[in-house]
Amino acid sequence: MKAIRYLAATLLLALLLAALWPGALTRTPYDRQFRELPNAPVSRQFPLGTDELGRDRLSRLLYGTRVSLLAAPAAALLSTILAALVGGLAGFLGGWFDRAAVALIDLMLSLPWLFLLIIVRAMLPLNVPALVSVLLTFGLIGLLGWPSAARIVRAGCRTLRCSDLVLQARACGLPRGRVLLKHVLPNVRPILTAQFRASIPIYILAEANLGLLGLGVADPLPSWGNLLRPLESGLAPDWAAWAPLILMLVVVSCLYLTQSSKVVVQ
Amino acid sequence: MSLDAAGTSARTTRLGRALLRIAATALAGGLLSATMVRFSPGFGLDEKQLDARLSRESQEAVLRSHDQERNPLRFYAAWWKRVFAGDLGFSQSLNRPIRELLADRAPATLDLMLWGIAGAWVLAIVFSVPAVMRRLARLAAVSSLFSGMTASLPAAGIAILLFRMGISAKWMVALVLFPRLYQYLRNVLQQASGRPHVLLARAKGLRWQPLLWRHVLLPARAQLIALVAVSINMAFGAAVAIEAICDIPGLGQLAWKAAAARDLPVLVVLTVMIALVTQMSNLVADLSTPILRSQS
Repeated sequence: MKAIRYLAATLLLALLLAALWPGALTRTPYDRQFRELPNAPVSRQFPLGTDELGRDRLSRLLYGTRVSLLAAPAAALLSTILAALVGGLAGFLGGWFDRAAVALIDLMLSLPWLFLLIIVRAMLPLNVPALVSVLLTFGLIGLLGWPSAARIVRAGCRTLRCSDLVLQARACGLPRGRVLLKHVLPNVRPILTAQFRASIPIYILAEANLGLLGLGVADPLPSWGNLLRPLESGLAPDWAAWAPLILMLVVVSCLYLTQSSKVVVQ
Repeated sequence: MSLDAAGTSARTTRLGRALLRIAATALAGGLLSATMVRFSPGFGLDEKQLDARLSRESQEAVLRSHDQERNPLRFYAAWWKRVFAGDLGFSQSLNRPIRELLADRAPATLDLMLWGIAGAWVLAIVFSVPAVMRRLARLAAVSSLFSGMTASLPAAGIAILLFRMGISAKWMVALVLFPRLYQYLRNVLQQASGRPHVLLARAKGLRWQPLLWRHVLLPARAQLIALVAVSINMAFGAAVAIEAICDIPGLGQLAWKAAAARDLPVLVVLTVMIALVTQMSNLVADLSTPILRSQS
């Protein structure tokens, strides 16, 4: 198990390095079109060939990996912060705020995640610059992904609210905010860390789903979602198998690392 | 008051509160979706406004047809009034009454979901029961690998790959649900089969088959029923992507088309309906838990 965990971490690190410094593997920009070479086969110049618009597939794969590997943790961080705020306050304060938060969490969890994402993303502007589409897609995923984590954080904070250390802190006259920040939230940090790690593969897959349905990151910026789209046409060349393969490797690696963090929390 | 009567009264109160909570959640969900659609860009625009053959008066009439929807609160109140009168509204983008759309499309989605959930449960049971009960390490490794592979692909990706292989959409739903069900089921079975009396029975040489039903599945039935409730929610989520990819005329595709066209009445109906179905299935699971525990 430990060996698999190291293997997963090494693989993720290698992919992250390749995505952060794509210049080490290819010098072609991801959006440069070689119009005389559309759908070019594998060659020394293009190790994975070119797509139907004559763009270097290796370059697009590396830049797409960069987008997904950097934006998904950012979205996970956003949703974890929201979960800590809503769940922490609801569990610690109790009363009407707790009831309102639980109702909101129930409402959001009663709608399937993909349905909610598609509905909300489709309502936002679709014809936007590529960079804005990255922010919109991952921002939305982060904003909608907090309820399940918030429920767990709330449960943890409720338990801590009645614990000896919190009772003693309050008996000493510490204000509620300080008790929450200094004594409650640090004690639920392992839960938040586990939730953060568990969210990353889920958000990578969510972006891939949205991208496949044409609601993800906009062209010409590549992401795993739009890199998988050639599969839909039914005329996808062999190179298209690389995107799902790398996606699978990353998600499986993330899942293994998440499982190990859950064990630590337990 | 006797103990039985007190117990029945407490259960009725709890059920009433739960139903009220569900109604409030569905109401809030509908209002939220109405508000979101109202403030989305492109709301209120109609393709007919671009039709050069229409006179100015006709185009203004087309524009006015959305007037009622501009205030989400007013729209939502009027919508509920119509719902109680049996009218779910009219889809502007598909040019049909919503009741008809639901009646036409619900069977396809229900069929997809039912077969998908059944397939996923069969797969999860086939892989997890022998792996846990017979302690087959190789089968456990193979099923974990298979579950990991399916869990690491997006639902839409699985739909495309299986669609190209000519495999039925029902199997697509089953494969999307399988990894989640497999993991939960394996954990539940591991917990139940790790109980002292089960371990003792195994140590005394009892075969696993007689133990499985009476001492593993029956004590874990409350968790399994909760898992069935969760799988309904997951199956609908998968159905949205799969129906959109495979062009299946179901409720998922309707949601997808309505979202793209900002069709407010359809989205509100779907949101309220899905929230109600999910909450009701969770309520059934919640209510069955104490009853099942008291029986065991």
